[in-house]
Amino acid sequence: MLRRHFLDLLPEYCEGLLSQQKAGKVSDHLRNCHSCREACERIRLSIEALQQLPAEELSEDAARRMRESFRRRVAAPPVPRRSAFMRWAVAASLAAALAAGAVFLQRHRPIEMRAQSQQPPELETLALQLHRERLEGRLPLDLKTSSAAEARDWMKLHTGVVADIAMLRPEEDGDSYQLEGLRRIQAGNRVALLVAFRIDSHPVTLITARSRDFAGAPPEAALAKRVFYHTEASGQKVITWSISGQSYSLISELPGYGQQGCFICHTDASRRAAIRNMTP
Amino acid sequence: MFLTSAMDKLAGEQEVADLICRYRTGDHSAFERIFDLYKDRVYNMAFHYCRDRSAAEDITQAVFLKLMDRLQQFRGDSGFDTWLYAVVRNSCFDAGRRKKKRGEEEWTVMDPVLEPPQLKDLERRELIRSVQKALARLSPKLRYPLLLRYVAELSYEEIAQTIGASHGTVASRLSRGHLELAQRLGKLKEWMK
Repeated sequence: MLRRHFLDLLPEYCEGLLSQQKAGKVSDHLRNCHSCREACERIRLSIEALQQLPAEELSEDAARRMRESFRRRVAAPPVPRRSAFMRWAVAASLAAALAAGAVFLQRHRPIEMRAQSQQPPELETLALQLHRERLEGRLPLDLKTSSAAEARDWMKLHTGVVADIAMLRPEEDGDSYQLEGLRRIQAGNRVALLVAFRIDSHPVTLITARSRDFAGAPPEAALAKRVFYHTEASGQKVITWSISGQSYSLISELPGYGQQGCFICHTDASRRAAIRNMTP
Repeated sequence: MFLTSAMDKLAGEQEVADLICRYRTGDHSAFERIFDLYKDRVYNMAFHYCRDRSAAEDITQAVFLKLMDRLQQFRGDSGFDTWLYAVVRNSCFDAGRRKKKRGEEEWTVMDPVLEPPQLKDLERRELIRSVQKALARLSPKLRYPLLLRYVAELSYEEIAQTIGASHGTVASRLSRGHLELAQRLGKLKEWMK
């Protein structure tokens, strides 16, 4: 007999609940096994201790209060609990509402103003400097092209930057969007990608790099992209944001706060509509 | 003796079955009779489980409120006692979980209420206190079968039905429970003698 199985029989043995045959086997074993005899003694001690516990009775006062509560319950039965199906249905509805809220936030989250006193992200400073150089005609491009496909291939080949930039424009944009070219920016081990284009003839400069490579990258939000807006004293509009470990800085002199420049990244109708509705 | 006890039990079961039928037809006095028959047994289990009078009263009330709803569904597949002790068990576990969730401390050990002649017996009083403390330190899985056996005085088969386990599992849990309890009670060995 396995020792564990034998130990399991001991409480019944001590209480005299085993059949004669089983009890005989246990007695035989106990005669020869010191550790099981000890276990048996311990079990007897435990049984004796438990038998000392006094019987407790509910006080008459508590019983009276309970009877009253039962009568109240009978007089006004509780609202029946929702069935399991209903509980799941409510939980599913809440989850759906939460998801819809997250999508709404993703699309309609307003642009946030960056305080003047706040230190600008390093990437934004670089973007402003390069944009000014571009306006002054001092910024040569590594690749001059108006072809989105060519730009994408070059980007893949020459920069380590993973830039998910949709360059194909919808037909409705007509000539309002014109890609000019790309430049690879190297600062030590850090690499950034500059995309030069025009919207309605206004020069727009987009620069992107990995967030970890440039100090002060804007924080990423859990549910929605946080977009920060800022106007330079010189009138240039700056929009910065981070998503999936990548930071972006967009510089232009476009009307409003330059949101039109975001068309570079948003080529489907719903997102364009959301951008139009953005308000800082 | 055994025959009388068995017959009493049978008569008790018949009475409860009648009371349940009456309650189902809307006779609330039948429920109050069930309450009177079982309130002390439920309270006794709850008290020895949590060692707190106020918590034991709450558990007792919760158990009977649950019964008000669930008696409609009681099919009589198992005995009423085992079914009731399963409800008590769930209510005790729920109360313990809620207490743990709130980050509250263990239930405090109350001095046992003893009859006047026993009050003189301080050693016995201390012994009971120590047994309750040791019992409270066992995991609920080991503690509840011990209480079912030695407080509710259920048979192994009834315990198995109450906790939804086999006879072997009950035997194993009781054995482990006893050995753990005895270990904690080691220093009381002399007193017991």
